[in-house]
Amino acid sequence: MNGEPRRELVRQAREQVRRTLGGDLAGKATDRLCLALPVTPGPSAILEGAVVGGADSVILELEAGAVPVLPSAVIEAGPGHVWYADEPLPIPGSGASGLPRWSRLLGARALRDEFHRQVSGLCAGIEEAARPVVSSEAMSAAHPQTEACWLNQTVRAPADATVLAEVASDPNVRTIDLPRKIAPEIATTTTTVGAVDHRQETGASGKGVTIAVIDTEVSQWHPALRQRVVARGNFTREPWGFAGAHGTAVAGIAAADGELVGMAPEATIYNYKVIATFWWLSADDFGGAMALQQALEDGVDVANISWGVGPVGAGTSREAVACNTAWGLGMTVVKSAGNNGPGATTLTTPADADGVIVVGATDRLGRSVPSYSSRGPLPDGRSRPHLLAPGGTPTDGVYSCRLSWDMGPVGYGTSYAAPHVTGLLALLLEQDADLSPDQQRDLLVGGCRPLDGLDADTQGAGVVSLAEVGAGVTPELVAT
Amino acid sequence: MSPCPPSERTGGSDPITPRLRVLLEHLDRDEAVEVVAELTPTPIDDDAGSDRRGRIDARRRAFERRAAEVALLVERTGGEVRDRAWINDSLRLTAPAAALSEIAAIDVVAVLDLPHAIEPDRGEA
Repeated sequence: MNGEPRRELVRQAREQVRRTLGGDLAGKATDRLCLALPVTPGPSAILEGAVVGGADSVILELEAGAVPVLPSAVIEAGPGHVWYADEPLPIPGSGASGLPRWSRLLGARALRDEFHRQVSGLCAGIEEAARPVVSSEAMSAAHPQTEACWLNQTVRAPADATVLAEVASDPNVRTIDLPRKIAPEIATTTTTVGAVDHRQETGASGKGVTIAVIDTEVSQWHPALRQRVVARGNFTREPWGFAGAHGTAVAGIAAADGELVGMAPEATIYNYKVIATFWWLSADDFGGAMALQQALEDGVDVANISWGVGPVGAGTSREAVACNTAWGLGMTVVKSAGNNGPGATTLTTPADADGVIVVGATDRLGRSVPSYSSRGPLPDGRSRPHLLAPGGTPTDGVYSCRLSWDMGPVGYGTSYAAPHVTGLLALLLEQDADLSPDQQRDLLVGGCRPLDGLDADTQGAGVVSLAEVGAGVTPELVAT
Repeated sequence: MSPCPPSERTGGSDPITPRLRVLLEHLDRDEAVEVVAELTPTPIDDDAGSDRRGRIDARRRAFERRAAEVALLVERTGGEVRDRAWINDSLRLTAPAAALSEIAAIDVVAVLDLPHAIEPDRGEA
């Protein structure tokens, strides 16, 4: 969904909330909550006890001034005992004083107690209003209806529309939102390349777009990839049934949808197996070309190749020719730069093809280029890489899908930079399926953020980001 | 975008690459060897239209016509064409070592080479 239609949908939902649940809730509910509230046209649209959008709770953010902060100079250490910050506090049993640590602990306790005291009325009101919702006393006891977090001054409350309408009138409640899943790590790199904002702005998720992961066998049973991975071709001498960590991580970065979310969480993944569990069973360059060929014949939109076939040359190698043909016939090929940096001209072929997007690596935050990321130029002077994406560092790897069916750090390398770009292209192609490979590359290059002090042989156009591409995908507007 | 001239692929007029020549020196004449044959670039059919499927089919057909001559000779020498990659105008074949010179002499054969290994671009962490 494009930005404007979504904004209109939010406006209508908020207006519906205003009519049916009151102006207080309409004014304090976030867009997500407005869209999730179970309201329908008509005065009696709200069902008693109806839950919100499948969630079982909402988060109330309180006004900053709702809970006064204790003066830093005064620390209440217990009933009848007050110390001032410029007096050393005795540490029991040690004979020594340790003001900073005691100050923190006692101050935190005091804040917590004060917060709970002040929100107790609000919580009691919520529980009273929500009582009819929870019919079973046992269930009520097992799942407290309200929880308060003094650290960020929020209260979790039952997701009941009628309760929310009442709660919203409390002047201490500033915002009402749905809880969000914790996605601490892959979200970092997803944010770095602007995928999160782009998805929210446009509603794009990669739906209807097919990406090829030409790599190891991707785990088809990983919860974040399940039912979206299709085993299309095996060019190794190892049968199907031996999922590999490398391809599974690559697929996860591009398109995971689980505990952590990749770039294009609804894209379809066609898997072409060219790397086996044991290297001597892997495909050779001919197999790699055959995999590209089948992907092209299968109608794939974007192919990811996070591997190389030795040092770059003049762009006439078999794999480079295969990339050029695929590109000319409408399939975009995204290629990792290689991990042979920091020397010049250390890229791996087919980075020397004309029909390819070559991706170097940054740290997870997109702030620097690790030494391992291969540098250009090509032997004939052409510039490479085209751009950068997060590939992590030896001490801070990127997060993605693992063979243990969970998500976590998977290591580092330009292998993991490339699928960021592959996933971003899936988002763009969902918006405009007619974009040619050249237009796709121009769009990405035009939206890159250059890093200070680095030459083009190190970073190309800079760190890829969809932040500047926005909802209206119009290649004509992008400077190339 | 058309592939580069075959002479640029080998850097010389001998279709058999140096590393394949080195291997051949250590093989018996009848010993089978697996090689990749790169053909001269397939001419692009301008009448294939803009439809992706149609252009792929046209390209594949043109490649198959030119590959037929090579396949015929390979089979006659007791070898076998195992895979065909129209995407980069190449064939994977096995043939007796002694037959490679004859195969290399076919007009459409630009290069005879050994396959290269592919390596994932991952770190060692």
